Amino acid sequence: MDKLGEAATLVRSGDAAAFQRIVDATSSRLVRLGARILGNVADAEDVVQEGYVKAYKALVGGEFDGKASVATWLYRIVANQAIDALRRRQRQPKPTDSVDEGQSDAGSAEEHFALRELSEWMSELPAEQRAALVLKAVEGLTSAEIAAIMQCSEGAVEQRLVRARAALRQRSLKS
Amino acid sequence: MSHEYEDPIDARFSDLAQRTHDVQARAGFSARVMARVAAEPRAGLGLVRLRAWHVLPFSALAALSVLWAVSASSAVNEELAASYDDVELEW
Repeated sequence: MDKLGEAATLVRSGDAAAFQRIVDATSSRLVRLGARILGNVADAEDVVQEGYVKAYKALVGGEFDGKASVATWLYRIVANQAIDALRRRQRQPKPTDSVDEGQSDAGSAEEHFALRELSEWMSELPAEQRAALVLKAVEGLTSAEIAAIMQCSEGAVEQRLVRARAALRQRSLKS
Repeated sequence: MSHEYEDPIDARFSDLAQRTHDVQARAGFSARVMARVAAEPRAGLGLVRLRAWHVLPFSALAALSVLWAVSASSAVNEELAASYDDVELEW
């Protein structure tokens, strides 16, 4: 069992402080994942925080089966939280695709603008296509890994990727 | 290391991946998460013993709410129940 697995066991047995170790070890990558899908750090922090709360409840409730590592499990939770947030955003769109205008995010202005560029480039894609594309082309996951996260077949993932790329290509031709 | 991409879309994604590689949470994020987690009641604590007829209407309402939530929710809840798959991500 890895260190995060040991921490998860402690949390399950009532040591809530052990959850801090899990957060410290995973939050950087999870917030980056969320920011890449959602386009800004503030929204990413929201979904990651909610993901941690759900994970904590699941650990305490004994619902985590341990088939995958804690890190992989958290990654999947946050990816799906972000996809849900994207869906909600697309049902109630904001004029700026919810990209924050200020510089309140952590990190450099360059990172802020890169996240905004990524978000605006994919703003017209359906949530599933956008998430699949980020997971594949930005996060570097395989289609099998994306299929496991999105709970669909690899074929469905490939189809989403093809459609998303076609839409981006079409968009670049128009502009 | 530089890559040659035939597809400009791949090239742009590669560029954006590099430029967003160091994105991280704002200061104090970990503390905020732990405060939020600490506010969660532990399962099994805070339960008050009530007679069944006190609980029954609320239980029925809760059951209906759960049914609705299950039908309306997305994959997230299934993620929580099980890690279910042997596809392991590199971390």
